[in-house]
Amino acid sequence: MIEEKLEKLRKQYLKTSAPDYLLENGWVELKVKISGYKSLDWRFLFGRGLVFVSIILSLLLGVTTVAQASKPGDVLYPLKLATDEIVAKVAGKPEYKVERRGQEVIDLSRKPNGQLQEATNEYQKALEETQKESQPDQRKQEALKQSLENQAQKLKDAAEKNPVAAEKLEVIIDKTEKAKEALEKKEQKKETSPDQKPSEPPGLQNKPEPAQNIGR
Amino acid sequence: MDELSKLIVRAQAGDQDAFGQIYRLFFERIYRYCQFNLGDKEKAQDVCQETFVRAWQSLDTFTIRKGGSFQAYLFKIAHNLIIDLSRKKKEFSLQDYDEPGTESLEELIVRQDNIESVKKAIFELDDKERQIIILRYFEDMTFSEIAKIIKVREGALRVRTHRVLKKLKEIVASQND
Repeated sequence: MIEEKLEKLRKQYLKTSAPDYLLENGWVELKVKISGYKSLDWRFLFGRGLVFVSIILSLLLGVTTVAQASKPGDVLYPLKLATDEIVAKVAGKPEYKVERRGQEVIDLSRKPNGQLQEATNEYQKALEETQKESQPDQRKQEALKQSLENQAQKLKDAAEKNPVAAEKLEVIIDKTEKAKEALEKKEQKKETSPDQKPSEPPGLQNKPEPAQNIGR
Repeated sequence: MDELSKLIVRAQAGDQDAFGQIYRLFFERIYRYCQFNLGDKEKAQDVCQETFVRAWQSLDTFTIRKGGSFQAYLFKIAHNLIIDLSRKKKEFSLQDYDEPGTESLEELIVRQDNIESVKKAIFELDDKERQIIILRYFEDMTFSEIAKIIKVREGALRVRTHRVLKKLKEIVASQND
């Protein structure tokens, strides 16, 4: 029977013992080797951490990319708002938010539904925020004015093309134009205001006329 | 938690002495397994040591909670190293096989009568079939452990074991003809 033969072979197999050298020094040698690998373990762990972080980053990137196509009311929409906020801050372009919200309104005006109302609300919110954020900086205000002009034109075009959404679009066109006018008024005010001449140091405003003009 | 599990947990936390105790528990068996497969004492010694180095390096991947068998974990590493070596050299054969230590005349006769032909037959099997015989009949492992080592399903392994025994019987019979 093969089983019996195997059993005999097994007995012989079990008689095999490790050489004396391995019995005596095996562990000592191995300990040196695994101690050397200790730093490799850290590298291995670091490698795993890196893989983990890469996976998380890839997932985040994927979700953020998908979120860019979301519209007001969608689950990922808050993520889109957050990324727009970051981009606007990092690039120093507060008007970016208005442009993005404006584009959403235009997109949704093609197929008006409940989301269009939400989009117009978001647009108005972005408009108010952007006005505040660009207030202290003249250059930002100029950029915002330019952007609002473009937005108003785009919104008017969209209202013409989509009469069903025209009523809602008119509201924000009006708000956009008012915001633009407010900026223009501020600009004019600054231009006419005497204390807005920074090139003239204080005290020189009442300086005497040049000597050659005296007595003319 | 049994003694071995405690040692594994300690070793996983970086305790080298605990790993040393694990080494002492298993190295004879791993050496024997390597030597039978490779038929060369020096290569067996190297593969045995390398098995424990790899085991230490990937100790984190072994989980007791999932019902992991540590001996299956070690034998799997050893088996992979043996495969790598045999792929590189393709030279281990019965001719190279080192016989175990001293044996009595009676044992020698028995061996010549029965064992030699079986051993020869085992080496005529393919690698997985050979491992099934060694691990099941010599190392007394469970089907579940062997399945993990040679990467086959347990159900398929049971059927395959039956077939391997039949095949082995045929090879031995053909040798006697």
